[in-house]
Amino acid sequence: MQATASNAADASAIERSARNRSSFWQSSIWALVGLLVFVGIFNLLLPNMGANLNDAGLIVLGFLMSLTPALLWLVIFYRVDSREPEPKRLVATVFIVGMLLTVALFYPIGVLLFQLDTWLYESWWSLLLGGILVVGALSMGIVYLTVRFVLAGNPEFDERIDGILYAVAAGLGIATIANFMYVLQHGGVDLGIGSIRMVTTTLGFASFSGVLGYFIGQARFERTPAYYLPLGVAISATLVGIYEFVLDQTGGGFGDSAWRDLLVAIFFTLVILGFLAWLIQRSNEETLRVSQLNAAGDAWEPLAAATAQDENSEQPAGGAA
Amino acid sequence: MSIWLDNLMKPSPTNAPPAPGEQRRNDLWVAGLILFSLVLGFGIRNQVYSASKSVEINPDLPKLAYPVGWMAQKSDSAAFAAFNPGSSSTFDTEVAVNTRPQRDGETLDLARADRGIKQATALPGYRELDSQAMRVYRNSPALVTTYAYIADPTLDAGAMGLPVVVQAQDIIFARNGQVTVVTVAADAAAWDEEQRDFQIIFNSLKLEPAPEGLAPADQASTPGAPRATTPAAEATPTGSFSSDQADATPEEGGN
Repeated sequence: MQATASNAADASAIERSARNRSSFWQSSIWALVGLLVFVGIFNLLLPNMGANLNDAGLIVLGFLMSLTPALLWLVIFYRVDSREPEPKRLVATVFIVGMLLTVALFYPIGVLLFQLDTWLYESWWSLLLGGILVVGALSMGIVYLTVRFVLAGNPEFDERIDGILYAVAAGLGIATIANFMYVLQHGGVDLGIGSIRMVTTTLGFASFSGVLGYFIGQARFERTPAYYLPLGVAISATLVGIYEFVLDQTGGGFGDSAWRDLLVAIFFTLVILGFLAWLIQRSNEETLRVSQLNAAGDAWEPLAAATAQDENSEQPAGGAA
Repeated sequence: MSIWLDNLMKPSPTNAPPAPGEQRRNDLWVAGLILFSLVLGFGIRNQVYSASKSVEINPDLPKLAYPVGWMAQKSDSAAFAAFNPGSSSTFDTEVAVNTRPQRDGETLDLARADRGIKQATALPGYRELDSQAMRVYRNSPALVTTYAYIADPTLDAGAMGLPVVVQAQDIIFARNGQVTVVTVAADAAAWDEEQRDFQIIFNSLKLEPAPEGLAPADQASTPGAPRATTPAAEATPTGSFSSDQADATPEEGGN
């Protein structure tokens, strides 16, 4: 009797973990729109807002601007994903721990030990390889560390998609610190170009952290081979490096090229979010199918990704023997 | 591709949750991967730091290496010159090599004194700061003279800007009847941060401290080498030394 109840609870947890939450993707798109509005305000509506500010004023305003993209993303997320939002405190904790770990790890290792600024931009190959092996690995390591240990055993992490959500929050923490440092290094910031650069950084880290979050979500709910999570770190770190490389090769972040950077960032974000949405939907479908097969005593076989619907219609029980 | 995506979507054929041991294993693998990446990244950094091009100044001398990001430039006054276009200062960090035939009986101290006098008249605010006995190419005595002067790079470029205090070092040595001066120079404010690039040049010269007890005055030129015997043999367009090797051609090199 107890075993039956336990099995039912397990099945319920599995079904819960595999729910599709379309509001998550809607909120991501709205967050993207919100960030574009943020850029529009400083470039089109108030292009001269910082004209009368002194250096100290520009630094203070720059700090506020650094926080804005991340907060905007999180607030929009809450508004749109209101049906079953994650606990505010938990999301905020992940965001803040992401920031703290960036300060505690990224800057001592990346800036002081590796002295990235002295060699990263020396050549195209140093930018690409350094971007992947140092910037990407470090930043995605921080995302992993944040999500893995802030949420270890936390019952709120009960859906696969939560991996993406919390990883994005950690990535936003990294982006915020990166934006802070940008403001500090430049002694304030040109509000127009600065806002574009901040959004570009935010979109990049949010998207690539989301990729790692997908793997974290999968590994949380089912057995994975030893290479699975390292593969997630490697893919997301590689994306970070390629992103930095593409931004550098298409411009450099000033003047007109800043707008080009923004377009590149939007393109990357949409492609990655779209791919993740498709991937997690298919993953949830597979999980539910396995759940039903297990209940019927059948074994699981994967469906071909592109022709899943066709095969479903041709093979009874989804290809099970 | 399809199998790859299948594995991404459904890494396990069951819905069984991972055991605590598996989660620890995952953590260790991720930590290992990140450490491995950082080690590789450190290698990339060192590769960038030591990446160099090399140039043959004189058939009798080993090739001189300089940082790969630097650009060689034609110079009337030097056998070879290159500068760092990415310098943080308006004064581009640079290296210049001058050679001339060694005069009869000329010691390194005399060569240094001769160069010092000419530099003092050619460079505004010239001030010698230090001079040390060193060695190049394992066994050739050398003198390393550190000095400073004032340059006005923005004015030279037709713009208005503050002059720059330049710190420079001359590495003077005699080999096979030739006196060679390798000069490195940078904005004094950026001197320390340029040391990494200078080290590439110094390493190719195998510059190292002289054995103790060997005073500069004791470091005579290479005995038995052919010497110039007439002043006419010493063409000195703007500085102390001629540019008789001005056709030095840079070539891409390894590290």
